[in-house]
Amino acid sequence: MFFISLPSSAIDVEEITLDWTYEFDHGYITTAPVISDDTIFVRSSGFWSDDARPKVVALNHDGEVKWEYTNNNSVQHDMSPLIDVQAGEGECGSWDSMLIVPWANGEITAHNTSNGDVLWTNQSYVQNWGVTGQAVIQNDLLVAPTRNGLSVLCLADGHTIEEFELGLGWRNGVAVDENGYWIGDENGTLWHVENGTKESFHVDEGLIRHAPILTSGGVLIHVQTDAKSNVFFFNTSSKSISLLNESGPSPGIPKLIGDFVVTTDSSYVRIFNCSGDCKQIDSMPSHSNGEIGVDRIGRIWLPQNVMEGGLLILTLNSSGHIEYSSPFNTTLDGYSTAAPVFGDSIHEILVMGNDFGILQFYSSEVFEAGEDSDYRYHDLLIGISFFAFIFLCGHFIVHGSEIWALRLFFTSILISILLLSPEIILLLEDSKPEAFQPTSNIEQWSSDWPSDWQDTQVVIIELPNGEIVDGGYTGYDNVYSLTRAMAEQNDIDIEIEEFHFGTFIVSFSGVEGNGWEFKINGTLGTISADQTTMPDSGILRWMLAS
Amino acid sequence: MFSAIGTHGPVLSPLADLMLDILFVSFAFVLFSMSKPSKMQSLMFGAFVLVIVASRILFQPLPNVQPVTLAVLLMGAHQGAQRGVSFAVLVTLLSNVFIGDGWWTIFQALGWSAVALLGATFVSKTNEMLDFKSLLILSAVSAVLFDVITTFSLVDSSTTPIDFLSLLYSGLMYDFFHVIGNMSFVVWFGHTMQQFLLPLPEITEDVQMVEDVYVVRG
Repeated sequence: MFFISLPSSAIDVEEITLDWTYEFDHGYITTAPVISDDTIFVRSSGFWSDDARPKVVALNHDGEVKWEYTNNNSVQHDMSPLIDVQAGEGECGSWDSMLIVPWANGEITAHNTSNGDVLWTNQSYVQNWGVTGQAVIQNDLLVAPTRNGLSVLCLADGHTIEEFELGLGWRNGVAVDENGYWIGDENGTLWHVENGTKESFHVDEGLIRHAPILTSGGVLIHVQTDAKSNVFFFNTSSKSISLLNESGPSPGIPKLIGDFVVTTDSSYVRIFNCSGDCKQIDSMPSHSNGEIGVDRIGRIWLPQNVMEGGLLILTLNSSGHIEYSSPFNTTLDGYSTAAPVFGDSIHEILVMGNDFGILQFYSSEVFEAGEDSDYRYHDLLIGISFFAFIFLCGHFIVHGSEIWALRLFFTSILISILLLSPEIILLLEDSKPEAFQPTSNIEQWSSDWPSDWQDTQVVIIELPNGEIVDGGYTGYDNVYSLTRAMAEQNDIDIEIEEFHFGTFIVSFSGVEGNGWEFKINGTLGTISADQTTMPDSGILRWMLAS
Repeated sequence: MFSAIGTHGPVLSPLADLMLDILFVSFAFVLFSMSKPSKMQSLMFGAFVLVIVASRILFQPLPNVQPVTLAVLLMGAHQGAQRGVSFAVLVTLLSNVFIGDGWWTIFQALGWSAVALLGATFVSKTNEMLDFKSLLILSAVSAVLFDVITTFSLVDSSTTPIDFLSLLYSGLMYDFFHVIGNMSFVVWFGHTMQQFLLPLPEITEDVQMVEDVYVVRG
C-alpha cells in the first residue's frame, strides 16, 4: 500500500481523434500493421483479379506514403504478419534494419525500411500456397512456417540453414523456446523440432491455425473443427493432452499475456490461467476470429468479425477475471480480423485496419485515468488514507489527544478494509480449506438428463413458469461465468448489479422477485457469483430468494 | 403456518408473519414494562429506539457495519437485561420493516438480545461511564457473538457441522467489518451514547424511589 504504482500511458478512447486514413485499392487488411519509429508498415490481403496484386506500404505518421512494394506473383491470401527487424549481427552475418514479408506464393522478402528495396529473397515450398503463418526471429535466424513444415533462414542474407518437412499448414505460425520449435498443421498434429529431431503429437481431428502458445507448464492449442473448436493443453513434462474447453467455431489466434492466455472464436472470448496447468477462469460472448491486440497498459482489444465491426476492449484484474469490457466503434467499422497496434510520438497513437482495406490512424492525449482504471484510484485511495492516518495519528498523539488518534486509526482501518474487500474476499475464497468445499452432491441427478452431462457442469434456473436446465459445460471456474454461458446458450437475459465486493445477478428473463440465490451441489452460496468457485463437475441451481 | 421451506428457512404466510411480529413486539413491550419505567424513561427509550433504527438504515450500504450492536450492548450494561432485550427486539423488528423482513429477523433479534445480556452480565451496573478498553473488547466480542447466532438462520435439515463451519468461514470478511465497525462506533459515539443512557435511573433506583415514597406517605 505504501508503494503506489502510477498508471502508464495509453490511448484515451474517450478523447481519440482520427487523424488520417489510407485505403488500399484492392484487398483487405487482415494482419496488424507494424509501427517502427516514425514509419507504419501495412500489407494487403485478399482475392486478386485483373491487375490487382497484394502489396506492402510504408507510411509516415502524417499518412504520407514513403514507399510501396507490390508482389506481382503472389496468390491468395497474404496473411502472414510483417516482422520489423532492428539492425544486428550474428554467426551468419550482419544486417541493417529491415522489414520481413512472408508471402502466400512461398517467397520471403526482406526490405530496406527506408526505401523498400529488396535486400534478399528466399523461396519456400508451395502447394497451392506457401507461407501464411507467423514467422519468428531467433537471435540471428528467421524461423518461418512453410507450407509443409519449417525453414530456418539466416537473417543477414536469407539463405536457408535448415528445413524440416512436417505437416501441411495454413496460417499455422511457429513458436520458439529454449526447447526448440513448435508448430501445428491441418491434421490437428502438434510438431516439436529440437536439435534437428522431430516429434509429433496428435491433438485432435481438426485444424491448428495459429502459433502454439507456450506457457510455463506446456502448450495451449485452439483447434478448429467443423462446427466448433476445442482448446487443448499439451503438458510438455508428461506429454499428455487434455481438453480444456469446447468453444465456438472459427477460432482466432490466441495470445499469451503474462500468465494468462486469451482465446477467441465466433462465440466467446476465454481467459485461461496458465501459471501451472491451464484452466479457464473467465469468458464472455464475443465474435472475434483473428488477431488480438494489447495496448501499453494491458487492455485487450478484440476486432469483431461482424458486419458492424468495431472492437471489444477488455481489462483483466490481477487474477485474470474480466474486470471491465466496453465496445470501441468508429465510423469506419466493418468486418475485422487485424489487431490494432499502439505507439507514441507526441501523442498516443492507435493504428488499425479492417476488411474494407482501410488503415486508420488515431491519436489522443496521454491517457492517465479512465473508467477502466477505477482499480488504480482504489489503490491510490488506500495509500493516501494510510499516509494521512500516520501523519495525523502522530500529530494527535504528540498533542496528547489519544481519543482522536484512536478515532482516526479505526476509521482508516474501516475505510481501508472496505476498499480492499474484493481482494480479501477473493483471498479468503482461494484459501478456503478443502473440507469446506462443496463436494457432496446433495443435488439429485435426474434420469431425464442426457448421459453425456455426467461429470460436467449443469445449471438449473428455477423460473416461476418452470425450470430451465442445461449441462455439458466444462472449464468454468466461477458461478457467474458458468451462469452467463448457460444463459447465452439458452437465450436467457441476465441483469446484474456490480458492487466493489462482487457481481450479483438481479434477474433472469426479467424475473427479479426478492433477489436470486444459488446452490452448488445443494450448498448455499454465501458470496457473490463471480467470486464463488465452481467445481469442475457439479450442479448449480439458481432460485428466487424467499 | 409455513407455506414453504425457502432458502433461508421457512417461508411464512402473511398471516403467520403478522402474528409473529405482533408476538415479538408484545414480548418487547411486556419486558420493558416489567422494568417499571417512568414516563420520561419511556420517552427517552422510544427516542433511542428510533435513532438507532434510523442509524441502522443509514449504515445499511456498508456491509455489516451495525451501530445497533453497540447501542444494545450499552443499553444492557446501563439499563439491565430486561430493557436491553426489549430494546434489541424492537430495533430489529422496526428496522427490518425498511431493510427486509424474514426468517432471519428472529435470529437477528436473538443475536442482539444475546449482546444485551452480555452487556448486562459482564459489565458493572454502576452509574459510571464504562471503561473504554473494556468497551472496545466487548464491542468486538459482541460482533462475533451476533454473527455466529445469525448464521444459524441459514441452517436447515441438511446442514452438517462442516457446512455450518463453512458458512462461518464464508462470513469472516463481514465479521471483520462488524468488529471494526463496532470499535469505530465506540471511539466516535461510545462516550455520547453512555452519557445519554446514564441519566436514566436504573431499575433498582426506580424501586427504591417508589419504596421511599410509600414510606414517607406511610
